[in-house]
Amino acid sequence: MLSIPCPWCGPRDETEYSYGGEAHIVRPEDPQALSDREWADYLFMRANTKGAHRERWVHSHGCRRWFNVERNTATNEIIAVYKMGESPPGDGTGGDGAP
Amino acid sequence: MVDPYLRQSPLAHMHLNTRPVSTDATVWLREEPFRTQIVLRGNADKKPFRDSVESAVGCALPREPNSVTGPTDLNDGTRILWLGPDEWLLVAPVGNEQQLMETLADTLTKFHAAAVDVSESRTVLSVGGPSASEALAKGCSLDLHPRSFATGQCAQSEIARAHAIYHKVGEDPVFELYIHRSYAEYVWMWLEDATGEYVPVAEG
Ligand SMILES: [Zn+2]
Repeated sequence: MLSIPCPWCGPRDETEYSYGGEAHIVRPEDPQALSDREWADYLFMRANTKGAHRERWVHSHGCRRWFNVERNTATNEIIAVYKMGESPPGDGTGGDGAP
Repeated sequence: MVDPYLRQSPLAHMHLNTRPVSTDATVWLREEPFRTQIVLRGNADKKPFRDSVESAVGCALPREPNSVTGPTDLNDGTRILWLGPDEWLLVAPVGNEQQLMETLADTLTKFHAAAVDVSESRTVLSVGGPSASEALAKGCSLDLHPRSFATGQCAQSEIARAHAIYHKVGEDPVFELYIHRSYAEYVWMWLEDATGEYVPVAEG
């Protein structure tokens, strides 16, 4: 079981949360202008990352807020937690962003 | 506001008040039905909103996650439980919902905010006594030890996989669990089972 730190409530068991898939997927400005392939790409296609992965979680049995988690999909290590609207810390590779 | 003559606790059919109470038990259970409960939403970053709520309700909006403001004794006024950065639960004694909703309606017209009477949605189960934390720990993933769960604090979590709002109201300890009414019977029976070992069996 994962222990996930909610940005508001602190660390809680995974059973209190629901998973929301890959984070930072931006809805296209003008869906009408897209081809079917581009629209399907937005709707369905996700990176199947092994390693650091930015994803959304919601604290459904707690404060019911959505937030972002950067998690290593291979080790389940939680690298970072940040609120909606905040820019992700680090460079997305699991490091601290330092060169 | 529900007509009082129609109002029934979700545990009414269990006739809890006719059950014998063991004085030797180190955990006790009690239902506190019909509490006034109002969910308030609004932007706590706006000081006029915070000030208006405070003057209408009589206590400040808690902004610290999982904290509670208001009187220790519920009979002395309204408590506010933090549920989220823009969401609170106002709790008052039985029968205050109409007056409180009218006050809030007057207050909130100036703001982008909402108040909803949810008094019927949950009942309150009190779990108290020296072994209360130990018994609750069987179905609760929160650390209920006083060093991490202080008196006067609240938290939303689960009890035996059912959603619950925990509020620690007494040092003894005493926990109040706000349970959705459709889960009340299940949680009560689960609690009876979980606390059974702390209730000595009467001799003879
Ligand atoms: Zn939370």
